[in-house]
Amino acid sequence: MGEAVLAARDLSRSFGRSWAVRRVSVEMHAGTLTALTGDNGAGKSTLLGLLAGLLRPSEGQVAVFGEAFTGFFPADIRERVGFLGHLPFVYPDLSGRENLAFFRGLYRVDPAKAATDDALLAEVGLTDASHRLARTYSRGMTQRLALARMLLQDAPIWLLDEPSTGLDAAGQALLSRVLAEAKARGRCVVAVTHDLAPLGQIDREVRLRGGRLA
Amino acid sequence: MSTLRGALHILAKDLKVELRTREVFLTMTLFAILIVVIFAFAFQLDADATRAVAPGLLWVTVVFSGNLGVARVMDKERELGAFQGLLLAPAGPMAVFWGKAMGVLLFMLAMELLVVPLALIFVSISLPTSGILTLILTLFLGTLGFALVGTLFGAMLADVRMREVLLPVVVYPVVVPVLVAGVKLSAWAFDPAAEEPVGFLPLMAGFDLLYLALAPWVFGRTMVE
Repeated sequence: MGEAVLAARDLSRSFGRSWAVRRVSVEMHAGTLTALTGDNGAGKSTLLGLLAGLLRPSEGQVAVFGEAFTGFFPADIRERVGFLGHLPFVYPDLSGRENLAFFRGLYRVDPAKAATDDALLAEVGLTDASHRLARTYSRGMTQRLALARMLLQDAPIWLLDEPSTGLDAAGQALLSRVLAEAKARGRCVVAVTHDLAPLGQIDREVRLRGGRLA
Repeated sequence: MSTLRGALHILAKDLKVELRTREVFLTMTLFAILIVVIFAFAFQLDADATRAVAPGLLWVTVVFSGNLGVARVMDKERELGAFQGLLLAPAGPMAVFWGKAMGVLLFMLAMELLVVPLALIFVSISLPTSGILTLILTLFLGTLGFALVGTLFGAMLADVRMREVLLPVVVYPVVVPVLVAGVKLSAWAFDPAAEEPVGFLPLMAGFDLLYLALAPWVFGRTMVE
């Protein structure tokens, strides 16, 4: 399977006296979809935040492409990690198209390699709403826009926190297709979820219980 | 993307949103006008008393409305979690800090452009021609210092409960040197014949230089998490 693209090495994180994640070691590879599951409070989102470099580990390391880190990633690594958090990371006072244009500049997207805004908006089913402010979008539409942002960046590593939130049946089918295509392009996809079905074909389930691997 | 390019990209987005909603500018400006009007009606002062309190009124208006502006700018980033997206972008936390600080500075200066002349009219105080440059320079330096400190703490408190209360509690004590220097220098601008307040302009400039260096560094070190 080759070297792990992303790895947690003895990763722990505490908040005060309570351990949200405790001594988790797990490896994720290119072209795979890993589902992080567990009950509420199991430490899934905290682990995802640690893997994204958003949270500093109390102990242990995160390795990205073999390089170990104990905190915020440097720019060249951040460029290779796409993150869709619990919130969609979009601007409500910009239209769908303007949001994509903003993130295109922010993520240094190579115009020669990336799909056009029109193509991305069509792919997530937002063509007709592309000029409307994101504030007028439903939760599901906002999540589709967030997916378009992930597709725009198309980083080698995709980290997603409950990506099916707010999506209807068609939206969940879209998510499943987008993730399958990302895997096929060799992306390493890690998704926190309570519901495996909308993710489509997963390669591995990593279950957490009380912050530890179950 | 260099830090400067990233910062300008974020600033351009903030300006676009602000031109569309006018939310930050209107909030700050209406609040500032309210302070000035209430002051003008609440205190019936003669010319000498007005000259004595006008610089204080000016700076209270700037820092109170500036605080509102910082809070609104940060709330806009919080609304759908976009702030985390900014921090994770290759441009990095420094670009985020400079982009947001430049936005706060521009919004505050735009507010002052409208409110300061209005305040002078409302409290019936004249500004001698020789004091205009001093007042402009003082307002710019003071606003810059406030924008740097406000952006830093506004971002740090963005996800904290009761941030509306905590932000002024944290920011105002830090900007006391700017406030004191601003009041002294503004008083001199209104009355250039008075003795020059020595040392306050370097104090203000020094404060700005310190926070120009310190604020982005602290922001970069603390914003993750």
